[in-house]
Amino acid sequence: MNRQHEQHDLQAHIRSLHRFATGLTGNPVDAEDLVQECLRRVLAHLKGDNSVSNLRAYLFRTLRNVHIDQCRKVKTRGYEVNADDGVEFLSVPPSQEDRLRCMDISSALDSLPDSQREVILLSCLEGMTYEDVAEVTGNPIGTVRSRLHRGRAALREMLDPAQYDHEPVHGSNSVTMLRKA
Amino acid sequence: MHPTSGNTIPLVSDQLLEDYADGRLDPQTERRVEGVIANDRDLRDKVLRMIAVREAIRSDVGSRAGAPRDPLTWELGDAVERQLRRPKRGGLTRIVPFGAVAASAIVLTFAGTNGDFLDIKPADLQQAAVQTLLQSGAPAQVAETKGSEPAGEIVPVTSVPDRSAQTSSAEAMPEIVPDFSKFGFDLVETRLVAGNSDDAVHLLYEGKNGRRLSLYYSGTKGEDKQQVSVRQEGPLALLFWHADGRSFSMIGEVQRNELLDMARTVTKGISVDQSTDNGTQGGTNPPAEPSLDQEGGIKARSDA
Repeated sequence: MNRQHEQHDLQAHIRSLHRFATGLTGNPVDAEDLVQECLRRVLAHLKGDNSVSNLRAYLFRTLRNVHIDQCRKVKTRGYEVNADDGVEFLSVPPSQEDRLRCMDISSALDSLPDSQREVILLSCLEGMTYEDVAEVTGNPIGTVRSRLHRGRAALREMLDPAQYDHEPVHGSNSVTMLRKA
Repeated sequence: MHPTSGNTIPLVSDQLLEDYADGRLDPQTERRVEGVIANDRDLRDKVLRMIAVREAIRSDVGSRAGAPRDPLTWELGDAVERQLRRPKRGGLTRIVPFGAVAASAIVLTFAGTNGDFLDIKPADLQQAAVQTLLQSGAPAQVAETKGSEPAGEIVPVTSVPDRSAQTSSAEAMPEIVPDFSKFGFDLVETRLVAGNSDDAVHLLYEGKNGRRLSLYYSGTKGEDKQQVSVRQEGPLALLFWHADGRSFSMIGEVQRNELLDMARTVTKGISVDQSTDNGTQGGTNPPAEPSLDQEGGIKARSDA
């Protein structure tokens, strides 16, 4: 990917980072903080006259590192929760069936080990290649593939097939149409 | 793996099905998988479940995330984009806040331009050179180089500048960019180091085995005089000379003779008086008297 193309895609990268961060944190507000810290680090790196060969992978790797750092801090310091925010959050009832289903998927994702969740998010959510996921996570491609496979298998086990949008349809043409949707 | 009965071997693995569901397979393998699942209802359902889970993840996380709302996020994105547009290596990067280390590193070059070349303490030059190399990313063992012995005295000699050195009139490139590729060193970084009265150019070269070599020279021509000093300090060879109105310093993880050969690419005729040079490193042999070589070039006083 050349530099000009990367510049064009930067806004799209930021949206992708935010989506990935939401998958990691489970919360879009925390995700945006994560994205901002990630961009600050990338900015500092670039200001140091350093170059980046694969911007997308570099952005995601930086965001992942920021997340790991923050998780370590939380482990030592504990969570800081605004009491008012907590009450407001708890007072909002899940009102739609879709929301309930999403909560189930979210719960299933959250129950996965971090190592599996991140490769699932990068691969299934962001559509990254195995090579890019390996670059972001710093793992060999074989490890990425096995983690992705185990994570997906665990999700399939946890999720009730009856809740899927796409009910099983018999016929190879239907599979092809869904696969490419 | 796909459940099988008895000892039969499944035709497609779950990982292959996942790759198929994600569209990662080449067309030939894709057709093969489609041929298999067309006749196997269980496999077909499995693929559909894989697709459904993937779509559910996209839908769930995508709907929760939305787009970043804080303007600061986009401002940071704009700042990153501006940095990406900024030219980096290959051009001349101006380093203004270079600090004490960089200042000491190029003291020789500046001082030579200002005409007080001889007033600098040799030990300071040596320390500056070592610091220069450390600053430029030399391996850690260089830091252990002993600096207790004085560097060679600077002596006036004559020189014949070598016009074969690559020059460029383009503002973005330094005037002199010697090619050390035949010595196994490639240019990796070019910098303009700002000084109070003059600028210096720093060219950083790297060898295949990670060895580093730095060449500094004053950005503008000054008084036309010729001086040279060379010494070996452990793994480091240091060479300072003044020629064609410029001050030069080279510091590299090479042997002194190799450094001299490389310096001749920049300034023709640099040589060492071999009659007094025993070739030892860090020795205490008396200083050699400088003299003109046959080409009328620089002849260095050697502190082997």
